[in-house]
Amino acid sequence: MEERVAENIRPKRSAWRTSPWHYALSPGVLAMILLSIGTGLFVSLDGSTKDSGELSMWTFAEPHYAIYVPAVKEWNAGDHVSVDLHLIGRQVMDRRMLGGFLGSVPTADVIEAERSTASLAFAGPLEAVGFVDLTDRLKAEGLLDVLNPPSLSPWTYGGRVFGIPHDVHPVMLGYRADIVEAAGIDLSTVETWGDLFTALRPLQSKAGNDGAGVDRYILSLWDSESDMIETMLLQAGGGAFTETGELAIDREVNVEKVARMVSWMVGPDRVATHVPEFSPTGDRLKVEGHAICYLMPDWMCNVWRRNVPTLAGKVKVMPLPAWEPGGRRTSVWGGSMLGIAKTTKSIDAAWAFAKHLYLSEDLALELYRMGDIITPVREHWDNPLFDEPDEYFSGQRKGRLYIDLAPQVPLRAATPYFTQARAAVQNAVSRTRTEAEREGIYDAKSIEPIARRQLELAQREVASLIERNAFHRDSVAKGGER
Amino acid sequence: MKARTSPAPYVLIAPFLVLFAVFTLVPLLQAVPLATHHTFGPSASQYVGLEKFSQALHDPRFWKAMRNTLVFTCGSVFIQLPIALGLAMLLNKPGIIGRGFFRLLFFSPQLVGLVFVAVLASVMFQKQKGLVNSLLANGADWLRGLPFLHGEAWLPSRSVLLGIPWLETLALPTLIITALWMYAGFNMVYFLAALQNVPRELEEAAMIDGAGPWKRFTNVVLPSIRPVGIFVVLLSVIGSIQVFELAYIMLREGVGVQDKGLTLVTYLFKSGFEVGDLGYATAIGWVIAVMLAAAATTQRVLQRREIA
Repeated sequence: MEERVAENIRPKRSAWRTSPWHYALSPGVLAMILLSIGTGLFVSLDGSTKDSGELSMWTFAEPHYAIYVPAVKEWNAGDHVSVDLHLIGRQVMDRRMLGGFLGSVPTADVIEAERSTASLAFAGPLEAVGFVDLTDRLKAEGLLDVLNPPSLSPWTYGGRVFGIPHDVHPVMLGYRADIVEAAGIDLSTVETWGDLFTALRPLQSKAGNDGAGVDRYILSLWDSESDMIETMLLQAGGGAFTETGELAIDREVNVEKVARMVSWMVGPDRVATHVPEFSPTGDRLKVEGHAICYLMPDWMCNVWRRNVPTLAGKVKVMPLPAWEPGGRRTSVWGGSMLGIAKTTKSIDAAWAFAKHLYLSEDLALELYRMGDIITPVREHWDNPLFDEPDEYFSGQRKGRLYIDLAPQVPLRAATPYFTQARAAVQNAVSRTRTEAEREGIYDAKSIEPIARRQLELAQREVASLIERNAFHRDSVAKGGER
Repeated sequence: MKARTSPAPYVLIAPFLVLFAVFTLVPLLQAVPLATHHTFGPSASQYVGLEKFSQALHDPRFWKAMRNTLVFTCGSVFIQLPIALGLAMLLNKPGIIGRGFFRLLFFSPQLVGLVFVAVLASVMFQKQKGLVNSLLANGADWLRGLPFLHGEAWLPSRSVLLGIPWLETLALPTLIITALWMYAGFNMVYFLAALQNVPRELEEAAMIDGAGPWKRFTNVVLPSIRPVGIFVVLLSVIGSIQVFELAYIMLREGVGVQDKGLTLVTYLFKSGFEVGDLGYATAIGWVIAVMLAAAATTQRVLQRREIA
């Protein structure tokens, strides 16, 4: 009997073992199927990763996030539409925002976007911009008069405003006061870049081949730093685009200023050096005094305060030296806005929240206290907080110094091509420096023909990039606004 | 009479086919019309024909990216692979001490991953304080300290060595060196496996016939590992044409100064996701696809010839 049972079973088992279904439903495959179902269920049912608020907001900057967390908490405690705040990396935000706008799929309701991120939204026709047009709301509530005008320009495209500005970002010159004052040098009479180099020339030094001494230069400015180059050109009234957004890389003001900047970076007696920002190497070089002067937008004060605390009491700021006597003593570096995505569930609720976050006095003061950032809301500038001495900056009334320069900040046009144009200008500067160094040409006037040729090349490169945009071509053909 | 086939194989490959169709085939088909349109989201689209391809052919940045990619590929094939083969041959010697340790050492960059290696390399290659420049500067100091070299003018000064712009104007050599660090050990494993299958008796016979080490290498070892060699070359060529992460992480703006490290895939990425010109990015994508297809076809032809 037992043998018969075994005979009945054996062939069946054998057939099953040789069947492909045996492999399809093997323990390994079953385990994988169960695992995928299990993890899928866990992720879909897990409440901790879901937003609890009715609106969501993205920000990319950690200091901003730290300031907003209590503000959002307070907002949510009130009788408002609640908000979830998310900190995401800037590059991730670029991809997710652009992906959302291109695919018409929801992004966050409120997006705090840096200039290069926001500009991505302007690559299509005006009606396809993924942010809500805030112009009429700003006008109706009188907010256009409240905000510092230069702060609005990077978010104004085709005559329409697509974001509330977060900042002004005036630029001053930060310098190692301990080194300068120990040498008995007085910078209060310095008016132009030329004056600055003359005054600080005695501090230049070179380390010996035995490693003794310090390599010391006057200014941290290098051809690989596109932000710094843009800041310098904007100060001179130049830049890749005009204030109305026309591409003008090869204009004469840029040629002359690029040649002058390159003359600072070449030759045996060059005055400029490379101290990279946001890097441990750069921080160490700052501590060692590799460069004496640095371009210092308001937010950079906070970066220094956090990253190089050992320089507390050794640094001061002063207005940027002008390119020419009587010229502009500041510039602008960076900038963010708060925009509302068109896919938001409620534009009114998002608008109310955005105004609270960006325009309230409490937040403006917190922005300065925790981030050293000057608010673009002019009516808050009278607050005594901005007059308080700053120990890190050797007791200077730093806030007031920046505010005094805020109205002079140069205008910048909103354009989808600003990142590419900035890179093209930087490449032109770099090629000019390479050529000047190779040919042994160190004088600004003699460098000008090289700078002109390289800037013309950059102009053609960006112009062809813009030409590739069929929408832009059409609007130009129709004589319409950009 | 038709052979009765079980549905099981189809069921087994169905999950792959579904994923392949959704994530590869459909996007690939969609890439055909996308390359012929200028778009900004579904609501803004304009037919431009083959304009995007023509623009690419007249775009100096595209050609710079192409040149850089080909130089990087040559660096991978002509520098990295001989080194990988050399390492494999060294570690294939039976009597070598610490063979396992060295194998692990050379393979270890693969264990930590590309992003980690790229971040580490970007710190090591920094000017002024980076490990590479510091080693060069200290090495020069040491040489200057030698009695017979004291005061030699041809040695670059400390300032010059500390200021070597690896991540700026030397972006491409830096990428090649980093890729070498990353992949030499990986390719070494393939070569090592192939070398271990070279018939010992063939080598011994060659030795008895009076063949020296070089003759044995060119006439016995190389022909024996040729199939693996062709496969490794193909892998390296495909991987090099697709190079993106290294440049994106290590270089400023992902391209370096003066576009010295701009590669085809980086340019595709920037065109699509920084300029928002998906049509142009797709056109570049098709060019890359053609290059990869050409590389794969060459490998097939070579392998067929090998079998024949």
